[in-house]
Amino acid sequence: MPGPNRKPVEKPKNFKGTIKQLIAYSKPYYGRIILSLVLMIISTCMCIYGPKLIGNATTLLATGIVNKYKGGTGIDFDALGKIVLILIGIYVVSAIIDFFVNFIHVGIATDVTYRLRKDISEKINKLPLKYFDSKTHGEILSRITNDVDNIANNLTSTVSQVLNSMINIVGVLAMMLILSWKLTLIALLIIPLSGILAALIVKKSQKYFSANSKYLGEVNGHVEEMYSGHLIVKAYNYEDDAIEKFDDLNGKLLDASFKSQFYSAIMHPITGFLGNLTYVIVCLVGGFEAINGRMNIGDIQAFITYVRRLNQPITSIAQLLNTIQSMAAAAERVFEVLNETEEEPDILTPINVRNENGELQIKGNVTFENVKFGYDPNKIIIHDFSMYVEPGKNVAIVGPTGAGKTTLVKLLMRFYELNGGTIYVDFHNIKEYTRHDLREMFGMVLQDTWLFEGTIKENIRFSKPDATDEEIVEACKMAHVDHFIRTLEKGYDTVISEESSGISQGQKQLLTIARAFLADPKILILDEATSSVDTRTEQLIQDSMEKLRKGRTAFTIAHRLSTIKNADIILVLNEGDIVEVGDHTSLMEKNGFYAKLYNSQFEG
Amino acid sequence: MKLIFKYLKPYIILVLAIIGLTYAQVQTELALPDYMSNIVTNGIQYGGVTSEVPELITEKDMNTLTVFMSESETEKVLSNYVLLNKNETVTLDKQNIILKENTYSLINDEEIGNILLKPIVYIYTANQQNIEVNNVNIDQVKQELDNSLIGLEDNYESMAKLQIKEFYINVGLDAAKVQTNYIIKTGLIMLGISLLSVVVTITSTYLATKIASNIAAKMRKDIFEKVQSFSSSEFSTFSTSSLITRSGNDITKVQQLIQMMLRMMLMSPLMGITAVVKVMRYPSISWILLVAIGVIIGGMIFLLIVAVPKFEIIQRLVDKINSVTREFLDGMLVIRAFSNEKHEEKRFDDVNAEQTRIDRFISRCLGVAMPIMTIVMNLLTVFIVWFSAKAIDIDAMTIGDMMAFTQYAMHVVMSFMFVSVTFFMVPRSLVSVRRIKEVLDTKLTILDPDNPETLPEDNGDLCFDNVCFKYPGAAENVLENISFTAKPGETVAFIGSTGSGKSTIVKLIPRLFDVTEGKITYCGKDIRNIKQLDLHDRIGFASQKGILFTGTIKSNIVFGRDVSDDELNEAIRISQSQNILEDKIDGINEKITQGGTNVSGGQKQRLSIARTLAKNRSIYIFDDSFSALDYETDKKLRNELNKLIEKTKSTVIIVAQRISTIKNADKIIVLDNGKIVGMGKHNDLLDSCKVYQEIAKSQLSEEELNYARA
Repeated sequence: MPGPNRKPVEKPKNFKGTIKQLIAYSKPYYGRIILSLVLMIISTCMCIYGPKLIGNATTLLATGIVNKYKGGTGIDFDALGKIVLILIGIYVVSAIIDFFVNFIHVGIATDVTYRLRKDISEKINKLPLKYFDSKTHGEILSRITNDVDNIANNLTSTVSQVLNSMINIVGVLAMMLILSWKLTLIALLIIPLSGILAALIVKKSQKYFSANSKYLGEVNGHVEEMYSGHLIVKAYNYEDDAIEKFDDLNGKLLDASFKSQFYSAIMHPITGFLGNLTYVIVCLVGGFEAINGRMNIGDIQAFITYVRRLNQPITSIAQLLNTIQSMAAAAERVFEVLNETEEEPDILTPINVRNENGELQIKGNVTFENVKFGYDPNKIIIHDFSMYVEPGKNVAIVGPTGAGKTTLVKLLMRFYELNGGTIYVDFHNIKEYTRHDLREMFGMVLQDTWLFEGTIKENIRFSKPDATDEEIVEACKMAHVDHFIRTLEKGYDTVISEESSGISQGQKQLLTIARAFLADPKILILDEATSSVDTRTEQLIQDSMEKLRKGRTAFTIAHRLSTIKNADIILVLNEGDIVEVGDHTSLMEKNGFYAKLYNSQFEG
Repeated sequence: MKLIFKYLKPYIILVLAIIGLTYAQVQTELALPDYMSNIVTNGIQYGGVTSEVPELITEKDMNTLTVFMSESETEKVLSNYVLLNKNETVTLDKQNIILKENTYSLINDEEIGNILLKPIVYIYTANQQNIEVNNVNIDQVKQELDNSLIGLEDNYESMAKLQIKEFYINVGLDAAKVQTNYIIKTGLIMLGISLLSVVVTITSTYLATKIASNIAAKMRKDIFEKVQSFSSSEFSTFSTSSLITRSGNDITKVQQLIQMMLRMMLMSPLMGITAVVKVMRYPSISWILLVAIGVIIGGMIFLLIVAVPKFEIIQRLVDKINSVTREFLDGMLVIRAFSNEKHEEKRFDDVNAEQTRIDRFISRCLGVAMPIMTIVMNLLTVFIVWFSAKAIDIDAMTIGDMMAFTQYAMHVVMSFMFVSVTFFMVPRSLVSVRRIKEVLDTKLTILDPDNPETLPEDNGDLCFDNVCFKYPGAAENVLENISFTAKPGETVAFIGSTGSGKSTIVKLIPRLFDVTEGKITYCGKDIRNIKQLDLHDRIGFASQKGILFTGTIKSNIVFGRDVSDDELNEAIRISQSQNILEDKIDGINEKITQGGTNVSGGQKQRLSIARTLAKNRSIYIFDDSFSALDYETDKKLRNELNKLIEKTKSTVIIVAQRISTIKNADKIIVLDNGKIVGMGKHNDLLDSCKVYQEIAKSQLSEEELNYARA
């Protein structure tokens, strides 16, 4: 029974192309697919012959009993026994084949799921960050889970069901024709009728299904809004208005839901009636044929079974085609990810920046030269920016919320490609390094800390996979977090998970600082926390950041005026662009954007 | 379950109607195989003859019959017949026959069937074996016939029917026409029945759908209204997302459940039982059915034990894949920054491989089910044929019976399967019912007083008197012994680190929560003695996050109240929202999408402040509403707000994180761990309050502190 949530079928934009790609993707399974198809055809053909044999048995009984009345030998139990044995053989063998076919299909389906997921997860790492600007995480997540599931579940089963249905139709029709062409003709007149009727109902209900999902969306949207804005609804005495609007939407939903449900529910009785109609007519006409000796009872019985069997695949093919379409739509989305252009590859002959021990050898010069960048090439936000940062200098990046302070950072680490100009590290274009080397030069501490599910130790070792336990403890001491970790019951082996409530936001940031200490990079990127940290932890964070900055080239997205004032260079950003550069004194003297920003902090 | 019955109650008559209709549907559907059996047995095999005693028989045939009867038997038989003359017209099977010779016609039937049976069989056999029957050799003939009838005792009735047909032909009946008529008649009855069946089915489907969707709508409405009456206290016991699921998904599931109950769960048992009753007419082969059901039960138990427990594991692994992927996407920057892509890919691969392994196992287990079902059904048919053969041989069953039996057996097995499927499904749906019930049964904790006090027109003192507060279900107080007074025209500000309880305090004022101990008074009256509607009309509340609703900018500021254009413009001006409107094509009528996704965080904040200011209120509460604004907008807004307050003498309560926001407040209250650790003006607190100093130091440099102090 389709639920009230059944959505109108999605259609892929490019059905043929997607299917082609899907077929190409299934290449490793061609052998197994063909084997399963052959097995399936064998099993289906065997099964199709079953009713005819049962019919023969019935005829045997019918003639046998009449023969007995006439004083003959009666029912030929030997012949009957033979038929029964053949039937048992057919059914057992086809059941075993069906089992194996399913076994093969499950194998393929799960393999495809596994491979698709693996491919996507690896692809994600090769996509430029830019790709993710236009996609929500939920969207990508849904491709990895829902869409892949959809493909896997339908790839083998639906395709084999369609094939099975087609073989059935052909086979059954052939059997029917052998039994009686007259009856077949009659059945063929009625069966398409049920197909057409089913299609009509589906078409009519589709309208109500769209309406249903539309109003369901609206009701849910309203509910969601009123619930999440509950505080405001309550404080403004808005409940009655909310209920009034709800009633209106709910009424519309009721109507659409009833109609869509009703239409989908009557499909079965109506096709069932047509089935009965054929059944009755076959009984009738078959009866006449039998009287005139053109058909025997067993054949009528077999014919009835065949008619029922023919009805089923015809109505289900229509549904299966819908399923295939939604699968193709899912596959299209998945392949869209897999076909996406990857990051520009690393240069073939990168500069060697490592000594014999594999350690990075850089000083930490950073130069921006006529840098031009925009997330959207048509909307350049950094127009022409040049700056030289000596090793060990501190750069503070300031500006109002949403001014694009993290942009520079992302450019430095080559998460995005420039639209013009060059960035140099140690006087080499950053494109001349491998991404791996380039990124290892930098240490990064972000405001929204990122920790994965695993122990504290694993999380810190993340920045230097070969670090010893001692090094980790040392880094934590530097980050003022060692003491806290030791107060935890399992210390460094405490597992961090989504629910881990024992660790505050501030402490999480300290852990990421420890990560940076462990990596010991020459260039730092720091993002100061704005809020949600208690006063004492805040102090610890500032202190350890200060320590971390010592002797390193540092870019700090700064919120604290103390940090800003001590910086060697202050970059002032507004709406993405760099509006002012200089140190505190010179910028104050300039009395521009920075001065205004600075003064507004303590003007009442 | 009780809840469902409660909702079903208003539809009791319709439910009864559905039960009646379902019964009719079952009866009609199960009548068809019987008619088919009749066509096969009576129509085809016996040429449409259904009588066991000949209704008409020629004088000649009767005479032959009497040869095999004693005198008393002959007398008794003949007394039930009347002799009609040649050329008279009689009606048999709706045919008018002009008699060709003198014929006996049956007038009443006093158990002469038993007397006639054996003689008729004798004649049938004699005809088949071309033995001449007359009075002369009767004993010898009888001897001969008895010999060939050995072992056929069970078949006498069928043989008699065949002979009666011969009698009729001798009378002049058009046998072929009788047969045709019989088949057509039965066929038409079948058509009528299946038409009736489809009408009945559609009607009951209509009713069931109607009931289910109406109940769903009613339930949805009840839940929504209930949740609207919730205070924050009840809200906090459920999470918002869980309430949304309960009002949406869960209702949908209940709708499906009701639909299923009214259709499948009524029909399957009825169908099963009726089919079993029909099948029991042939006890000699019914046992096959029992075996089939046994095999199916075995299969289900196998799945229940082997596969079902794995479902939970699969669910867990799916969640895990989700969370690993989410982590992976969220941390992309960090992962790439540390060049740790391989590490993450491996983590994903581990979960992926594990899920694939279990998925494969379960699917393969479930894959056994289909072939087993098919083979059970197929073998059932085969065995029915085999074992019916013996019954047919002794005429305990006819061929038609066997064919009907096969169909009934299928119905029994199918019904049985449906019932077991509902066993799997119902408990799952009942979870949804329980979740809905939880919401509907929630007792409201914040209620209007029975005898509400009225508030004076003018603004008065807002007073916290030793207030303690504990979240429902929590062990420890979030607020402890909070006392302060906010006078009309005063600005009172709260500051403190996250978790210090500053946002909780302001939620107590509009009674979004009630105090646990102590009391809050407004104009000298305990706010618990004031109607919530009245209290809320005195308060303008701006929440931490700017919350906007689907509609337009205007509808969001007006928000169901009576707001004049002047008030609207004033609110926009004070809240610094003018430039938001300037950017929009439709100005104040610009559409706001769900969740306000088409405006930025700062804009949302300003518009929701505009909403707060659109009506004059005695108390304005700003729960950390300024943090998303930049310093400059923050400053301008506060200047305008101060001007407004001077006019209206409203009380302003501000919760803030930035010292600069609250520096000029009349009273700053510093909170730490739910306790007041300092109260006073900015400069006093800088001198006296350690927590305040720490906060100030983290935000302003020493120099600036001095600068600010000056």
